[in-house]
Amino acid sequence: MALDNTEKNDYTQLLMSFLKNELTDDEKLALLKAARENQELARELIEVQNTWTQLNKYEVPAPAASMDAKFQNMLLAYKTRPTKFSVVKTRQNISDFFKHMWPTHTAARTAMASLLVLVVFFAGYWFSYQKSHTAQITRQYDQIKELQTNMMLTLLAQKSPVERLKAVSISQDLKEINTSVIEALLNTLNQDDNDNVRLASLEALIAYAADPRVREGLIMAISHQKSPLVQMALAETMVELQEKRSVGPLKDLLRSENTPEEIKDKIQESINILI
Amino acid sequence: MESLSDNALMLKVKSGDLDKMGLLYQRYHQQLYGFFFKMCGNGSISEDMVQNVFFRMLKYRYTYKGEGSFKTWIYHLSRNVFADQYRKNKRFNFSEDMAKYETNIEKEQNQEELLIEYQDRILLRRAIGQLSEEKRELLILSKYQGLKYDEIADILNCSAGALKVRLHRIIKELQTSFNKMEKEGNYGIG
Repeated sequence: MALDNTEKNDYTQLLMSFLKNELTDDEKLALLKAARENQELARELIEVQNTWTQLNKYEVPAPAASMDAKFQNMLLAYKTRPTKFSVVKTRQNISDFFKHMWPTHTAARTAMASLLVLVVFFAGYWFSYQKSHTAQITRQYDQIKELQTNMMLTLLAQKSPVERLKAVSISQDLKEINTSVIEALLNTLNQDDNDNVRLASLEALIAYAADPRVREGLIMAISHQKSPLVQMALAETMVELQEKRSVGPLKDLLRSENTPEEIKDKIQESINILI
Repeated sequence: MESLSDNALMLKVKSGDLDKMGLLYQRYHQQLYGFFFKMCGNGSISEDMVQNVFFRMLKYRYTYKGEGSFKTWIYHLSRNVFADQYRKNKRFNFSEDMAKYETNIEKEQNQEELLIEYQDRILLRRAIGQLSEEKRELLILSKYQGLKYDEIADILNCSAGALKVRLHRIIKELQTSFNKMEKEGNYGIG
């Protein structure tokens, strides 16, 4: 009698359990009885069991004798390795610490609680001190910056070009630049009697060219220059900054009779690049 | 100490008694070596993978909860180690390490029996090697590792019923494969 799909599936499950000896005695008897009554099932049982038995021949060669030694070395290396920070372990340690350290006696508990309150109080005080300390450092930094600015402005007013050069140099040390420094440097660029001081102030201003006030001031400075050196330096700066708005003032220099011919060539070159 | 369960030993390892790992190694290293060897057919890679399993047991000992079966846990780790190694090597070559078989065979007396035995082993090894990774794993876990169907179902995350049906199909596939190779006299290695 042929088996239907459900019966086949049931017997397959029993057969597989039979192979691994996972059937109860009753289940075993039921399966063998069914196999006696059904040839298809009997054939299946014999074939599957034969293949299963054939698989016993698959032997695994012994591992190398050095394997145990390798394991012992690995274990030793692991035990003696430098301990790394472990969140889980740390959490466990903290938990263990409180478990062992928290007293059981009421008086001791009160003392421990008071101690904890004191610790929290001092921690709060310390954080507050740190905060005010940071504010104090910021104030001192502002004061130094103010001093440097004042010194620079004072030196710029000096008659000696060397002093004025020093002033420009100080401006280059300032990490942040404010309006008064920009104005002082632009005034120097436009009005200083000494070309070197003008050139130094131009150098100092280029560092702040990202500031639109500086760019604006540099373009306007073109028309104030009489020195060919400063004119040339400004024309080069305009090219570097790709400042197209400078084309007008540069053309004015071209038209001016006071501008030397060799400088005019250089300026023309700059205009050509900018256009 | 020998009488301590695997679970108790692993919990001791977890709490910092790392020497207990040695006892677990004694209990499991042969079994795991057999698992890896049958999966990849390479002795030295199998040894490395066994080391790797015990290293991971040490490294991840804090994650061991001791709730389920230790055997299931160690096989989960082993499967991960194998998957990592498999990704590295793409595919293992099953033709290696036959020399070790040959050494064993040389010790036997009857030359005819010796040849038949040798051919059977090659056939078997070749047929298992031709199974897909997934099928080979299920066959090895069921046939050679001494695990019950429920434990394997837990390791492979499926029902025991489905697992038995799949194993039945694998046995049938092997049967066909044996018959075919025997007919063709296909004892070539690799």
